[in-house]
Amino acid sequence: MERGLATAKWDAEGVAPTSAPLVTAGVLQDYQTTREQMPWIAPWYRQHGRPIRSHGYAGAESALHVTQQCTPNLRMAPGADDVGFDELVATVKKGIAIIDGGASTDFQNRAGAGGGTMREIVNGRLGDKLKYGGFLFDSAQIWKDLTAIGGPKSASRIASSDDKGEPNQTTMYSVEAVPGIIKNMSIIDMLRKA
Amino acid sequence: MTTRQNSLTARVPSPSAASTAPPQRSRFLSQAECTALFERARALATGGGDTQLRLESKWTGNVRYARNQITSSGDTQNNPVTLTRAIRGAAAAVQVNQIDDVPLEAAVRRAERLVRLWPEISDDARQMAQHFTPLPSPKVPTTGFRLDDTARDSAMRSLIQSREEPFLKPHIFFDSTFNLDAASRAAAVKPLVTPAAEAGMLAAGYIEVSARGRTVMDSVGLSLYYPYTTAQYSVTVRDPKGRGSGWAGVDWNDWTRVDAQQLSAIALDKCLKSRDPVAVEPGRYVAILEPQAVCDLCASIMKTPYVQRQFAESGRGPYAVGTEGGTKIGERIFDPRITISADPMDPDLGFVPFDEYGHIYHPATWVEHGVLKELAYPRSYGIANLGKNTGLPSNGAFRMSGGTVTIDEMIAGTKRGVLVTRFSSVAVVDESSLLSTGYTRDGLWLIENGKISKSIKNFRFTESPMFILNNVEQLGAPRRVFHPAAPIVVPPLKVRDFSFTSLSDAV
Repeated sequence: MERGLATAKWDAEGVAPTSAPLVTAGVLQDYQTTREQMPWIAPWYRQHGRPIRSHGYAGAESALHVTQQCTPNLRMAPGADDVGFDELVATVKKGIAIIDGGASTDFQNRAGAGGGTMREIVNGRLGDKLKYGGFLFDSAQIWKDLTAIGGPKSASRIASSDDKGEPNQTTMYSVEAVPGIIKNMSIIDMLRKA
Repeated sequence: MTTRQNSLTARVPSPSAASTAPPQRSRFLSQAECTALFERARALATGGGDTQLRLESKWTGNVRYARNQITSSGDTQNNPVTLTRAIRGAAAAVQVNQIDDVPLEAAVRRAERLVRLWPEISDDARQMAQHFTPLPSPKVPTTGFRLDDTARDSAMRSLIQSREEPFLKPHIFFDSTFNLDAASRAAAVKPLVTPAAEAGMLAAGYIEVSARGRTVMDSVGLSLYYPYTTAQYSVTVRDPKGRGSGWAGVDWNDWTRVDAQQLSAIALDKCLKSRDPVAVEPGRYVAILEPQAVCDLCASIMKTPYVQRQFAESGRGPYAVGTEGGTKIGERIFDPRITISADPMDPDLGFVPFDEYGHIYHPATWVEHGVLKELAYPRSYGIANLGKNTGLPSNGAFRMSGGTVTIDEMIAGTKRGVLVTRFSSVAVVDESSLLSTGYTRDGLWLIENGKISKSIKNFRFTESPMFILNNVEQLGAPRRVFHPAAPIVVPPLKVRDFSFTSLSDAV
């Protein structure tokens, strides 16, 4: 990815990063890998008849930090139909639009929660803004609940970061993604208590 | 500048000896070295004005282990200098961590180039910068000025410290920490791992020690330096099949106060007892919060900006009253058994007596018997609004008062409730109430009829420390917890009506 936050000529282990399809048509295809990791997962690559080589995703926040596997720039392929956010909204009779904001997951990247600018969708049109709107999701399930995605014209790039490791470090990467429609999303009042 | 080394034998500066010690190359810079560095930067300056140097000279050493074996160890030295030049009412700051002459001069020149980028200066900005650079009558225009936040902060903080202010001198440099070299750290790991390995569990832990010299010096006359050490240890023990997890950790200035073996034993015990959790309904529970859980939830009550007086007076945060500048100072905000204080000289809480900008920390009682007594403010605020010549800054460190009830006694007196080891991923979702959300982690148990009955699955919670500290039933003895950002001493608490809102499958 050109000018992505994780774009590099070589990674921290001297490997030229390569693009790798991680998920194709909903099926897991590959892992994000470094040279250090390859011996650990070499059997999986042998089993699948693939070369045992790092994708070049080793990195560190700075020269003061330990080299480790870092999330590369990620790209979610657009849908075949070149529809945008507004056109997706137009297909929804009753729902909620999450327009911007952010989300984070628990310590095992399973349960997630987020918030931001959210508006009602009524008969295909954006309605009132939700005060203190938030959402909960299961990181694996959310992709299975995807019913439609935007096309090439709706793609946009955002910055994201990973905090991990001890000593702690933060690394940045870019994500190119398109909007999507997700069924059964849990919408909550962020100020709700049990 | 970064170096990695395995054998460490450098001399240790102390608060009393540092000012007279000869210049030396150490794992971090002494006061004499910082002074010499500042004088070199000052001599490189051109075009008049003033110069400020801020530096946290630091050595850190660490060892990490996972799956019962050491995975990495490192030593790092760094001298991140923030160098500010103020000329004719404008200021600009540059950061550099190479401190020999060539990069230092390049940093000075760059700061001076940045200063010249601001040709027009407003009254407000000129007033700030004048305190840093007390020029007689700067001939500058008065409109269209834009000062970046860093430069603005530098100018403002120099205003605050434009006069010498006495500071406390806590004993926070310890040879036990400084001498924990790579070999010592590696040797410390085996006894920490062995019990977990023998029990068939997987331990992962992290030891980090550091020795630092914090300095703030400027050409107006400020010259602050303080050496200190930090030590931290945390350990997670997990069942190999992911059936249970336990954690323990603490940080101190003195490594000898870190009882790593006891912490490892606690984590192992929690792991074994947390295996095979069952799901129980989310809802409101009586909760017994171990001190770490109290810290994880309540650290926000003393964090910037919430604890800042100006923030409250702007109508924001938990200590604001309305939007007309009122605060809750003088009002009872917590249970009367709660007193919250901070003192650099507190032997369980000691911290550097000034911040990285040179603000002096004074002993403060923020909450006394549940009544909000003070909110933090800078010296400029004290002068302008309170008729005081000092500020009352906060670095987030605090001690919360406690009681004498043990956790076992809390459990014995609970008909139905939960015991919480700690929280993670805690985020404030509403700044006016500090309502927060996050997850329980590394040990959560159901209490029934005065006994722990079973390990239960983790919860997501939505709760506020402002509410919980009004729902206190019992308090235990305060103790230091794991919070490397700022020292915190808190008691275990038994509270009612804690709001757990959903289940989390993570173990």
